[in-house]
Amino acid sequence: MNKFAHLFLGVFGLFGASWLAFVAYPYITFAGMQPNKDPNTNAVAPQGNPGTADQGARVYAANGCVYCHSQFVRDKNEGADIDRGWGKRRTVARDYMFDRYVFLGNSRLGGDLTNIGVRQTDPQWFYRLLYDPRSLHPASVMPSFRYLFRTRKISGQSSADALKLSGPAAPPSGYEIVPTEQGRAIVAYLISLKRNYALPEAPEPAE
Amino acid sequence: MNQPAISEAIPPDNLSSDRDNRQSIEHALRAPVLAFLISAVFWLLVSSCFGLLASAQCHRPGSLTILANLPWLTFGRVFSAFQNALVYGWLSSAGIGVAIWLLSRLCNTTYRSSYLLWLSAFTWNTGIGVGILSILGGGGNSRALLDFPFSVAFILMLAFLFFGIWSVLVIWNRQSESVYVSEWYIFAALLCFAWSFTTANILLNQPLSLIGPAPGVSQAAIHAWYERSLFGLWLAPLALAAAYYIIPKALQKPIYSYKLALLGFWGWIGCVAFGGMAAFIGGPFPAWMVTVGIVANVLALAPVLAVAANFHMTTRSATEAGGPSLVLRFVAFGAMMFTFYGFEAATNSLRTISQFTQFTLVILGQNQLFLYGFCSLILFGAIYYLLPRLLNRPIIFKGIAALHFWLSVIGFALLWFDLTIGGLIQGFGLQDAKVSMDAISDLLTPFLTLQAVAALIIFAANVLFAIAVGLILLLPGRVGNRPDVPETSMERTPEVTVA
Amino acid sequence: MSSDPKEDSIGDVPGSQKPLGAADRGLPGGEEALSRESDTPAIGAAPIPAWLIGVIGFGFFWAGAYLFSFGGGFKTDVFDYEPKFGVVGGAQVAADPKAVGKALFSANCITCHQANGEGVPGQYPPLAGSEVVLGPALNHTIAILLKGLQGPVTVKGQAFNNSMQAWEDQYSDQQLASILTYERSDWGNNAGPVTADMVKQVREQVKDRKEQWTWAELLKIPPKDLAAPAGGGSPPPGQPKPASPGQQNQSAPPAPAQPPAPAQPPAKG
Repeated sequence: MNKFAHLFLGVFGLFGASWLAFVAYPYITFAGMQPNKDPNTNAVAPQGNPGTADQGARVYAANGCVYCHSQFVRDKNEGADIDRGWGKRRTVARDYMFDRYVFLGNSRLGGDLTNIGVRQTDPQWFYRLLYDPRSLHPASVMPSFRYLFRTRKISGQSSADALKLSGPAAPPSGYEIVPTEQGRAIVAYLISLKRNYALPEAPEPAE
Repeated sequence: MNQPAISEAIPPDNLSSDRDNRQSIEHALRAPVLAFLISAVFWLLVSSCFGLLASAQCHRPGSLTILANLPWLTFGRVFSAFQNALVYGWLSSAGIGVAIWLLSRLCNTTYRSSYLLWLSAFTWNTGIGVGILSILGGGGNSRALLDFPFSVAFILMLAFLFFGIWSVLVIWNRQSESVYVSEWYIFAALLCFAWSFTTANILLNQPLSLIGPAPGVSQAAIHAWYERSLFGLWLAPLALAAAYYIIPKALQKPIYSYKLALLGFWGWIGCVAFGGMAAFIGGPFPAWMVTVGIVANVLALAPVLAVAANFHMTTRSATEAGGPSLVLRFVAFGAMMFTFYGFEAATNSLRTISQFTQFTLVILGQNQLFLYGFCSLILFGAIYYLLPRLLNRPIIFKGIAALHFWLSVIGFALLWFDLTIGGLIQGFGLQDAKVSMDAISDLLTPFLTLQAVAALIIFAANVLFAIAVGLILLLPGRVGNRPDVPETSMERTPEVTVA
Repeated sequence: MSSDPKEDSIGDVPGSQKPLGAADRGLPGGEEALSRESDTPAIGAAPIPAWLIGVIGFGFFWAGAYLFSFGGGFKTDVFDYEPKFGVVGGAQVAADPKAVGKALFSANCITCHQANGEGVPGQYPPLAGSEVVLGPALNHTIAILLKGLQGPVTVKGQAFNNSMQAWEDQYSDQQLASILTYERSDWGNNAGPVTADMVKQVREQVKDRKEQWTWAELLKIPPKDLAAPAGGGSPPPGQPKPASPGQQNQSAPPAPAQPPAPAQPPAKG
């Protein structure tokens, strides 16, 4: 039993050290973060995204989007993210301080989504992408999320967020394709993904 | 030569009380260990199906439009189900089954009751089943290997608690003086998995917001810590414990060096838990966290080399007549993959290299190297070792098992090379801002197709494994239809249950 | 007979058919006895090979150097692995006053004066092309921003009668200066920038005023073009100073501080 006691102490100590470094320390440090106040403009950044955006994050989680998309921008030294236009600066810890779900991800079969809300502001583009990714990116392996939409009869005039499709993908005449609640939520979440404010700890790199 | 295929209960000549003990351990453990091992094989088939489906979806997402309307078969959910069934269903269950047997035998314990094990097996499998279904139903968390909703994680924690209590009782009632290497690894695995699984789920997944969710990017830090602990301090120790037991037993030779075993164990425990953050090079974390991760992964090469040297020197001078046996083939290949994995993990952590491997299929290949090449193969060997001993039956139709070995190795090698080469191409593309994501997708297409082929081969291999296991279970004592394999070579007598 | 019966005889490759005799049935042979006594496999006592010790030593050395170089000093706010010399933790880059001014303008001023600086006819005066913004009486402009304005006023020939709040408590001198710099440089306006010092001067001069200006009261303050290159020194408060070329009402002793009189070359003769 004595040997097991030694074993326990050793494993506990070593594993405990890693727990302290990577669980306790980040938890405590990042819990105390405050948003940044720009001294020139008094603007506060980042700001939280309550409401639909949070529901959308839930839909993002449920459908495993993180297995192909990342959500952090690396510095110029570490990668070509900034050159690709995925952000003007790297992301730092404060960028995620109000996020209920943090989907950093470690796979880029698809593009990085940190600032997708800056690059694309039109919900129609997102609806189109989710409905049929290969209409926008022919070689993409992104699945079609048709179940985030439904086809329904047009009553009166067509809805504001009906998809504008043509050709074989278009619905039969008299019908329109509209996003479901989940579809709207995830697009609201994606449009809210912007980190285009300045933070002192992440200066924009010189061109 | 004319001995019966199944040995009768011939009372041996000199039976020590130790032997009595071991025989009664064998008897008490038979059913619960079988429960874990058989359910593990079931989950292996389930995960292979999901893996095949996921690779097919990557290969031709457009042609499978029928799936586009089925939310429970979308790639994100299928891939998550594949990973979770593989790790928690197949690897963990098989590992627990093997650990139960090893722990009882090595401790030479007097504890006999198996109610806790039955409870554990039942609860564990229920949890995994409910978990997979809820992932497919949209309840996942999009955190790799922490996808189960908290209620399911709670069920798994309960199952593990039963298993943990049983283990403590076994250790408490131990009779053997020394503590063998395998016991160190199993003990460390129990402690670290219980701690990391509980912490990660409470801080990240629990819905009550008691002390979770963890703020901001600490979620990702805790997740990375958990993933590395799951691989390095739960799965790897179980596989290494099996290897440390089977290799000397199969070769009838002692393990080469106690000191190397010590170094291999403590070095691994000390390094591996710190290495999680290397996945987030360039990520939104203070520089020191990622740097510590890189350093830990590189330093972990030392214990990996220690274990490799130990196994190599143990097997070096041992020659088995007729070439390595079936079990040893699996275990030795798996142990070599462990060394290989240590090198790949260290290399991919260095920032110069990670520029081209981060976010790519190379990481997927690295994970498959660990999960399949290392852990799965060793556990295949362990199951082939255990089942005849538990059931007192031979492996018949050994050709199936041999075919299983070759298909596993070929399928896995194809998968790893495909993912690594494709991943490097993807990585070079990602690093060049002039190459669009569309162009990268184009380049990757043949590799994703090949990945589906590899998944098919691995699926076939696993089906063969299930058939081989099924034959051992269901057809006792039947003579194989291969006349050149004498029954006697598969003979086992009660005395041999000792070792 | 083999003296070490293969434990794993189950895994025999077909072809190695040795009938198992008594010894092979597990009864004691040499090593078998050891493992029969206890289930535990044996472990040898070989030392750690020297090469491995060398690898470990080198590893520790490398690890120390790596942590020192790329660990960011273990600080929480250092995110770059290789921070540039002198820049640790990121320095605030000096912002372009026009950009800052535009941001501040967009936060509040556009509500009335609109993003295009045109105001709302009959309601809010325009700023584009406005003589109040562009005009030489810069101290008036700053005073309006500080204390607000109410009552009738004429801008660009149009009459307005509204109320503008005081902004002196909302914004610092630098911020007000950037707003005015922006206003004077956008929408076709092209006047010089305003500095925080100018705002500070005016703030000091009008600090006793408690209410919004009316236009008539404002005009009582002698207009001063704070942006003019000459005559930039601060005069004692209240004293008229011939800053504007339109107000030369005294004889002009040839003081060097005076704005140059319309060109008359010094008489040579």
